[in-house]
Amino acid sequence: MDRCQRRLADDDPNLFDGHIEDKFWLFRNSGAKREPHQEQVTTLSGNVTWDSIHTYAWNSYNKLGSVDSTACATNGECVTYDAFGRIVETSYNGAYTESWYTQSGKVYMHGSTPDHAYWQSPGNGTAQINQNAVTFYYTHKDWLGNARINSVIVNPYVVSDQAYAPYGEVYNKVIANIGVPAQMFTGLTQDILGGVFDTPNRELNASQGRWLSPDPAHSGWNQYAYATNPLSLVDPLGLCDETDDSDCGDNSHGACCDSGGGDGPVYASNTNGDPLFTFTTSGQVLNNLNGNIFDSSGNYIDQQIYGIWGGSGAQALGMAADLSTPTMTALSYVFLAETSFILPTLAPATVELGVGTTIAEATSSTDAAAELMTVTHATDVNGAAAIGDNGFLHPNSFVTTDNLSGMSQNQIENFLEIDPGRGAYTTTFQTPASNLGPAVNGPLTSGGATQFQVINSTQVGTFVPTP
Amino acid sequence: MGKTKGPYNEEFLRGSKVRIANRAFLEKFLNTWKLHNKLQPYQLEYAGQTAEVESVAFYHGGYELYTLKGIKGIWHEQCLEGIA
Repeated sequence: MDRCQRRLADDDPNLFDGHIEDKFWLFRNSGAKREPHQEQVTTLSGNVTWDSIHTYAWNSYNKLGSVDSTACATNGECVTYDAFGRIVETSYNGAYTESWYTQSGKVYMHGSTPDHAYWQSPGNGTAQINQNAVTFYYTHKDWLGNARINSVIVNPYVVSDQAYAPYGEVYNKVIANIGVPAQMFTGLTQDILGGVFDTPNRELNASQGRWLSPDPAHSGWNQYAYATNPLSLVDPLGLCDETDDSDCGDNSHGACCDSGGGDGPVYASNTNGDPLFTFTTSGQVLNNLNGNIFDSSGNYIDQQIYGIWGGSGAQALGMAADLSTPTMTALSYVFLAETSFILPTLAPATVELGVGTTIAEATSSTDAAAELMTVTHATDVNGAAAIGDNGFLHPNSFVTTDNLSGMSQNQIENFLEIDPGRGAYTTTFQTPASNLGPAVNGPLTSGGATQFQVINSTQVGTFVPTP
Repeated sequence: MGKTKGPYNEEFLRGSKVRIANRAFLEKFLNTWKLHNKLQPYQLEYAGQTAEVESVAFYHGGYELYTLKGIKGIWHEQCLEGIA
């Protein structure tokens, strides 16, 4: 029996099994768009093996094993599933993609590198992270969970929009940029073949408006038909029969059919629509999210944090090195709430945080307190001697993070706007960023030098005469 | 800078009382000091006032710079005098 209390084929051999193609029967009530002259071939279990365009092979569990492939890993596309019927790996002409199912959503990996990911987001939307976090999209969905508009998250603008026929066929797709997110129908993604939407049980051929395999319980008059009211109903599991228009209210079909608006099986865990917000952390030191993250209203949000991703290149490597409990490599990380971790010492300009069901951006997000900064203090011979006696700068002494090493004494004195002779010696040393406070008169001198003030008495390096 | 104690040795400790120089001195300083942390015209309005030293900072070269409680701006040591 399936979860809807319907008999599965193996439970009763007298139930439907071994359908030999009956074109009229097959297409009857099957959906909005039909190709009456299209050839169909099925297996004894009723699975479509050829639709005049693609050749399908099925495994012993009635799962789609390959498409247009005569030798997996060499040609065509082959599929591997987990025990839940979810796709965990596909190979296309020898190129493999692994599917990871995380707390935040689905991630597609090429080896150890994320290729793209879908993350649940506020307002029933989905964030799509493409090309190893090169681009970040937000998918705006309609009441069924269809991806109607995709926009860029940072500096938002629309990159694509598309319309859907009732059974998922995409039309009027307008693309402003290449590499825009793939379409999603009722929250379902296309993991095997373009135009085919995947559920844990069956694959929906959107252009034909029907399933590639019969209902696993062999229920209904047309076991290939999608819900007869596709503008109101969705079928995230592939277990509805075509007669179900009750939204399962009478429990006759269990929870197979669901009302629209959800994120589909992968993303449906929580869609409470928390508002998008931006952390107000600019200029603050964040060395541990557990202790320092507040939202824009000042609410402590530590306990809600469960995910983070962002940056690229060296930033991503920094995150990989510094996050204490990464469960994914290179760029995207998933961890449970209350996980303690340290943000990277490198300084990504933007880090995207998953908080509850929201996504936010932190503009200041590094382990800045521990980061060592190289600074320079200039002075004259008497100053060098006075400081050199104990080797410490007084608290509140000014330093610059600008590189003065190539400058002459005259250039340093002009740059820092000090009397002749006051730039005769310089000492360059490292100090934690947490020891640098903002200068009382601003981040720049009137001459344009970057300046800070040391907070504590600070040990300096050797004073070196300037050329 | 360093009226009596040389660079990096402040004349007026934090919390001590100081008096801001008179307007004539400030105007002269405003017109002649062309280096870092120039006196701002609005600071002339504080001429002759007394205040408590809030903090002391040391610029490159050992110049002592002060902030005063209730008084805006950065004050060079030359522009202040102690109150016994």
